Amino acid sequence: MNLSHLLSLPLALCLALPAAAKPLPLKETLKIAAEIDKLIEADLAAKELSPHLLIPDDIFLRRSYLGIVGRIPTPQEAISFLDSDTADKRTQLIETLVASPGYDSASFNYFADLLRLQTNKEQYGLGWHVWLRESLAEDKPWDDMVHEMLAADGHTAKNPAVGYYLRDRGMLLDNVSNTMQVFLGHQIGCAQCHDHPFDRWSQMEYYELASFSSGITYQSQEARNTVKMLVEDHRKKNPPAPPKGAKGKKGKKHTASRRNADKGLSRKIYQDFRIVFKDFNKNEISELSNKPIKLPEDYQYEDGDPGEEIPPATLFGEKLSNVAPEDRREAFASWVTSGNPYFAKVFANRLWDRTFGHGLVDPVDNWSKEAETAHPKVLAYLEQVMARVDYRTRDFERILYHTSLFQRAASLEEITPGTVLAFQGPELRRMRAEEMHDSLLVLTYGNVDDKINENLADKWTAYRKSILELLSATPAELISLDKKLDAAEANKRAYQKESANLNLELRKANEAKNRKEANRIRQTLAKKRREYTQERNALAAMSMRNIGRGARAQRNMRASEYPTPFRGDHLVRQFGGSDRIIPEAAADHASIPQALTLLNGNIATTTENRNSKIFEALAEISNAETRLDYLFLAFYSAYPTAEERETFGALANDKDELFTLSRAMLTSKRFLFVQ
Amino acid sequence: MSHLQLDELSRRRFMARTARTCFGLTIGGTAANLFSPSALAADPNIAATGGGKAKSVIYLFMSGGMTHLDTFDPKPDAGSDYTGPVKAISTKTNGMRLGHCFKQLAKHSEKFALINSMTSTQGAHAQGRYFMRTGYTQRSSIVHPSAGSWVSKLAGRVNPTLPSFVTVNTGNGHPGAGFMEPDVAPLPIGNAEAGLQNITRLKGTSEKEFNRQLALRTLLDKEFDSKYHTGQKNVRAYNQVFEEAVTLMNSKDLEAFDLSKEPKEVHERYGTENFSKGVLLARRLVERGVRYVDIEMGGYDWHNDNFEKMETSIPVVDRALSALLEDLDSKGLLDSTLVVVATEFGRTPKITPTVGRNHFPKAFSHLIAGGGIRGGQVYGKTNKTGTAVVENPVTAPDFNATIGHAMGLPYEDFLMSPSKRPFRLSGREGKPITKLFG
Repeated sequence: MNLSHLLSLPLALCLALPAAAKPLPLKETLKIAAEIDKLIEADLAAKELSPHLLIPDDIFLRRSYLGIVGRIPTPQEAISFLDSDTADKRTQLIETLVASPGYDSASFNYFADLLRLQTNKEQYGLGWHVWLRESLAEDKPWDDMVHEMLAADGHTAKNPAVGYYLRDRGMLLDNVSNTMQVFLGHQIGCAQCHDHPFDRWSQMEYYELASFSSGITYQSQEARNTVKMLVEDHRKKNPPAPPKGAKGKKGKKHTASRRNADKGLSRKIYQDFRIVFKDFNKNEISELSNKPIKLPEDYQYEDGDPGEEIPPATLFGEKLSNVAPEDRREAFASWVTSGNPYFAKVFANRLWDRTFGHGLVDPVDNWSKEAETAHPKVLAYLEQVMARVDYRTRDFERILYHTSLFQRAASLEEITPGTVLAFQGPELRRMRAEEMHDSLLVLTYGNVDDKINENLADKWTAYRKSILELLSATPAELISLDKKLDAAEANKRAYQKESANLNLELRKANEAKNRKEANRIRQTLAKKRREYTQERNALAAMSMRNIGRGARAQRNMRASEYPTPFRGDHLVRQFGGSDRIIPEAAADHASIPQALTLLNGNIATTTENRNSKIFEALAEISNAETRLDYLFLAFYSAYPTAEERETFGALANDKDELFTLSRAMLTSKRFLFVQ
Repeated sequence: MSHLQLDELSRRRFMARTARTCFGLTIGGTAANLFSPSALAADPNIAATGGGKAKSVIYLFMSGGMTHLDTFDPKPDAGSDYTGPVKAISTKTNGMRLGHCFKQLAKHSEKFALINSMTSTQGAHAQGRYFMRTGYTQRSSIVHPSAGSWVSKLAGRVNPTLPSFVTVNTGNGHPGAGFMEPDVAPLPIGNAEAGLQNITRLKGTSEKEFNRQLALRTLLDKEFDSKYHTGQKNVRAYNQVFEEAVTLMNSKDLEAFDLSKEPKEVHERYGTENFSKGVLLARRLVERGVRYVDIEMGGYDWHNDNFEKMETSIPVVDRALSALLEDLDSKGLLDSTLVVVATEFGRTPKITPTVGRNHFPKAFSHLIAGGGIRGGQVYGKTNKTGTAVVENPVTAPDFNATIGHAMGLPYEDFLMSPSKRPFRLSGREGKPITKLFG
């Protein structure tokens, strides 16, 4: 089969990852971080507030690991930092963590929640998952990522970013609303049904915006083209009888009847190849340039009539007019990502929130009260910084981690979401659900950051290959494939009939207590089943069914390596991991089932698991004092204080007492929260 | 229940009694009703209109926006552009019709009322659900408590060892206790059949060791609590849930969560789906005094293939709901249990080119039964095509006020949020639908 057109695919998909964008020099990074601190502290001083004190090494260590790589450090990692005398060890730690695979894992969890990624939705889910993971790993700039998603078109095998639209199949208006909320910090959802009650958006404006993507159809242009090709091929091989009689009117008539015959033929071929193309309509969108958006039937305002076609128009920033229908989505993607007055600062503020627990503008997805921010200068500066790092998330966050603010004590008072904050220090927070999962993993298996789930990428590659082969197949190949599938269908029916008969015979043999005969039939049945299954699997591969589905992860892998979202009863969901229904659905509420899991669950340090990493290590330590150190380092990333040594020291002499202490640590808030 | 809470309850009851004795008045419903919700039913205003009978609520939430035309508000005369293949079937009650998927429910029409005039301003899922559950539109600066937490707060606990509010299969967006303290937060159950996990001590851990572990936990957190307990609600919440978890481990009523205690015949009547199991669990919880069970059934967002999806989903509700009403009735619990079927919005009456229906908050339907509701009535009305409410519109705050009324709670009393803003169960201007009662 011909794979030459692979060359026309986006580069990133075909070649090895391009050279990672060059990170900002450390010197400049630190300079920018210092400038941010200067601006924040000037604002604080103006309000006669002072920044919180700097935190000690152990708290810094734990906050950095959880914040940057999404897990607690191992005892060894903790010791190597705490025992180091290097003057700039905090700077060095941040540099190491930001460049480590753990950063990619944590960052994937964040973006998957933001984008509502669902891995096992048809095959586009997996493609989008792999695309997101790779885009983050290769430091693809955020504006490019968003542009790719918003302008995406075609089949997922050719452009997996199309998952962003397929995710909201048939729910275009919701998709538009989420796009505005996630990328531009505007909540226009209310205007879907009526003028926004307390914001300025009208229903008309909503429809004007939605008009940019109204050409999306959830149908496969590829499948249609292939059918067209098959029709032509068929026609070539079976040329119609030359028209009889004179030309003129009759000739016209002939053309019309031929068109009808073509239609019938293509319908028949399409029907015939249904099995082959079944996948396509679920995994592809195509742009219909003549498909407008119309006002709803119950439109109630004077600026339009129900059913009226609405041309696209933007809400703010650059006015776009007379956009050619076929360019609508490209124009929209560019409007969002380049030159838009909100795009850069909304993203900068999101990352600020991710780092410090609260937005400079809060909530981060509603900028209607932007003017109230306590730090307009910081916001303006961050917008410049975003341009300087060329929208590279890693570089931007690296700057924030290097600020003094990241090293200040957490606030003692809870901060109400949506309020204006002075930022004397970051917010106290509970571990995120994935951090919880991954920290338990550290206790059981140690550092597993480099365990990447190859299964996801492998399944995706296999699926893409099959689809691309199908797309580039010649008519002859397609016809032969179709025949094979038809034969398989007949084979399946034959198998079902045969096994039904055999089962009947088996029952008779059993009733007659003819054990020998029953055994023989059972063996025949098993053999037939094996043969049939093999054949079916081989054909399933050809017909695309089930390829690229059902990827799994292993127990000792981090949360980011699993298909997302987790099942409702999984530990990650129990601790508030996103269900991927709405953007940023992750929660950190306490619940009784969480407490029960920590108290009695078979996690991390249970009796069944006494051979887990920490118990293995404890068994090898002969000195009781060192054992206590080890336990404190494992759970809290800190050496015990003198007082704690006195209180808990005696427990380290006894294996069972030590176990009880470790269970208590697992349930303690000092473990659950990030100071 | 922790000692702290018992003390708190005793203190409030004492205060209520003292207030009544000394000043001849009640100190607001909150305190007066902590132990007996029916106490308020004596309030002539509520009792006169049939309220105050319900002690528990089973709240069935159809998440994604349940189509009203195909379920509780069929429009057989609207034309096939609107009805599709749906037939309106008659019920035991004259004039009350249901979509044809509610075959069993039609036989119980004397037990429930339909509200065909629900109307909302919220056309997006998250916002719609939030509005329905809390009676307030979603804001960024506050999380309002859901009706379940309001009921827990105002009615108090009946069973001291079981939480008063349980949610089953509700997603992450559930507002829970909102700004209220964690003592009225729901106990979330993910999978009803699996019930409560990890409810017994680890194998090999003795009671002594377990208690030692609890004591050590307090010691380990001493410094942490001294810093954060006062200022951080989530820190307090974690102290609370550990206490509650231990109470629950020792509860005599734990078997409520064990559905295997129900005979096979009962399981068959409710059905095999996750939702059916949730409904069965709700019945068992209510029998043991749980105040409010909020069960979600997802997947109603039928933008495509509406009628295919209807044929698989609605019969699940039909079966479980019918079994629930039968059981409550035969156990004599229907009068004290309010059962509702709610959703965030309806769906466009006119069928779309993809044979789907889109979001439609302007008009939709709920079902309400038991707890003093007079069955066999249809309240409110939409026009011929189901596109607008033409009689007795009912909003989310009205609906919550109706729940409060059924339970005899002071639904109009304000409670201050920590940010010192006043909120109540009946929302900004909710009024109970008293016509449903008596």
